[in-house]
Amino acid sequence: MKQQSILKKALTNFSRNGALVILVIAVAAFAVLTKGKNISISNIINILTQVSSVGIMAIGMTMVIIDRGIDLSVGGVACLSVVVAAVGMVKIGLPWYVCIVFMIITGLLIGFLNGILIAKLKMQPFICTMAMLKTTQGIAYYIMQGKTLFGLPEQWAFFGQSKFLGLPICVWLLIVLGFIAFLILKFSRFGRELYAMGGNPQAAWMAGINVNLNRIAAYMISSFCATVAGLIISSRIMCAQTSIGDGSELDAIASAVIGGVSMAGGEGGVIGAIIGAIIISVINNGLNLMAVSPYLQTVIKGLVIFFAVIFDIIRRRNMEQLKANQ
Amino acid sequence: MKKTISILLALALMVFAFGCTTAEPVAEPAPEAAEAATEAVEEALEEVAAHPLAGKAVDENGEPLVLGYLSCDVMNDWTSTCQGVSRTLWEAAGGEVICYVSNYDLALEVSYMNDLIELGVDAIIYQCSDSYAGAPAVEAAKAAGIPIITVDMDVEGADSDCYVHIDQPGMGKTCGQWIIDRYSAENPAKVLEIAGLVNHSAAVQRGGGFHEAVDSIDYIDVVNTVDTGWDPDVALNGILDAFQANPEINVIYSHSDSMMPGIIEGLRQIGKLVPVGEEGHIPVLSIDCNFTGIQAVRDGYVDLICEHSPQLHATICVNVALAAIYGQEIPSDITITSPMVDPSNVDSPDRWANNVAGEFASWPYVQQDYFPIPTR
Repeated sequence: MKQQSILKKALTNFSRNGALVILVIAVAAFAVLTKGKNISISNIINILTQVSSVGIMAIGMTMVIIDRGIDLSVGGVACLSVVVAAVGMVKIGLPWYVCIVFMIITGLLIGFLNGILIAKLKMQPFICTMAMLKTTQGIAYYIMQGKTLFGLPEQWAFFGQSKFLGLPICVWLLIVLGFIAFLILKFSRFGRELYAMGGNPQAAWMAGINVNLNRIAAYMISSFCATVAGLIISSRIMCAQTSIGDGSELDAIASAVIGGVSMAGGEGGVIGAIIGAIIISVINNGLNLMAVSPYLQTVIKGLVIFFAVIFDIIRRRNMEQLKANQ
Repeated sequence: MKKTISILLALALMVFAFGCTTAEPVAEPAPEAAEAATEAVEEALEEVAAHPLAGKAVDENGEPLVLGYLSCDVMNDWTSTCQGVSRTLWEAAGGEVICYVSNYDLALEVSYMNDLIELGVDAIIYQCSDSYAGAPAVEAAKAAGIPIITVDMDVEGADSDCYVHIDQPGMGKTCGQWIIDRYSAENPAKVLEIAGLVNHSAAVQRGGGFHEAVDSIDYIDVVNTVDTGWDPDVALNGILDAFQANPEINVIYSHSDSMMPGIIEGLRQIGKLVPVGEEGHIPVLSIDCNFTGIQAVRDGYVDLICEHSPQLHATICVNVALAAIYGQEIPSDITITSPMVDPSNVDSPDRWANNVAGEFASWPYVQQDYFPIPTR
């Protein structure tokens, strides 16, 4: 009887910290397979650097998914905001800090538009943000005409290449934004209301929650995060290209889901999403270290996402059962 | 609300009235100005007439011939340049151009092809998304009797009227040969291959040619192949990962210059970005010689790039399309040999990427021997 209860407790803990467990298993497995190369300090910093942009996107995506939404436009937002900043710096000659302001304004405006269209006009988030993805990418393509913009000022490299206390600035950005988002979701009224909206939108509305305002805010946060991610990517490669952010929306969604954010809304958190992003990066990195065939890498990555979603379903069922038993 | 509408209406009326009353009568131009304008027009006309293709894309009745250009994307400088130069040349020849971009949507590609057929274009230049999936689009054009020229990537399972392309595997082989010539059993090569997109035919062919050249050589070891999806950011991550696992990598072969910003920044970040000729330099070999690549050669970080000129492809395609419309015989395949670009010839005016990006009208006309300008 006692043994059964210990097992139950262990299962519960496992369910609650599923993403962390997957991460530990992945790191341990690759440590064996790569003879410890993946757990060297330099490689850990390398992984964290790689994860920073997708991790930051996943933070914003988490907010939106908790509210039962989805934001497919993040790749386009990252791309367009970088293009706006690069054109400002390279073509017009504006100072880099002014261009960052323009970048953020661009991102927030797109997020606001997404929010208004979804909250007020009741557009389906999937369709609305997909249309926004196409629109923003299209504008970026039109501005760039297939070119790559070089000549970004040296200061631009600060966000993707400089270090503070041994960690790259982009990793610090991930940590700071993750911490702020964690505080918002855990302790602010907005965070609590977002969970309530995701759990039961009807009940949330009837309880007097300003659903529309919160929804708009969630999409603006998501776009803001995508803008910061774009800033990091362009800073790492020191140029602006239309390929920036391409396909990153799927990575951000996968990170959130692997990290335990439920697509059904109302569940999960940013820490899980960041861990989800780290899991994807650990797998990418491990497979690269092992020089696994690129064809096989795609299969493995797909399978990991697949099993993570199955795991999420089992985990949620477990939790529901436990709640029912209590 | 009513108040707002009234105010807006009043404002609109005021603007209208102001516009009507303040309109200046159109002044007669001064005689000198008129003369200058006439001269400018004459100069422009002379310039147009001086173009080697002038009047070539006009039918017997003086009507412009219409070229359909169906491209898989305009995101990268190769595809956008090929399309831009083709358009510029065709328009210089007096014709009209209709461009469609499928953004790698194969279903959309077939639909666009049908749209071009419906519009009754006189010839089609088609750069398909992937060799292995463009057959229905080519077959549709052939069935409609419209000459179709495939550019850069051929279509498996359907024959276009002419396929204008570079020797893709040949470029990979050239890069492989460069390594074979410079390394030996005493000085073995550990190669990092920065691949394009694993299932993309250009990447498959460029990678295939390279492996064909080096795989049987004992002293060349391709230690890692990183799939980047043509993305420089992924290439950067790949460089960082690969050097973690294999710090002894001493050559990088990239399927395209598209990934060059990531390669250069990656090498910089691991402290291995050393110019050619200096100790610790890691040779970088690539393909395309686009605006990014040519700058990297000029900066002294890249040893060799096999040029893949969209300007040359476009020039040949336009000539072939004209010949096909005139009813002349055209070859089913035109294979371009890739020039090798290194620091010795990087500044040559023959390099397509030495022109100003996007400003195709200012690019000089390419003289080439692959297919001459047809005469009626």
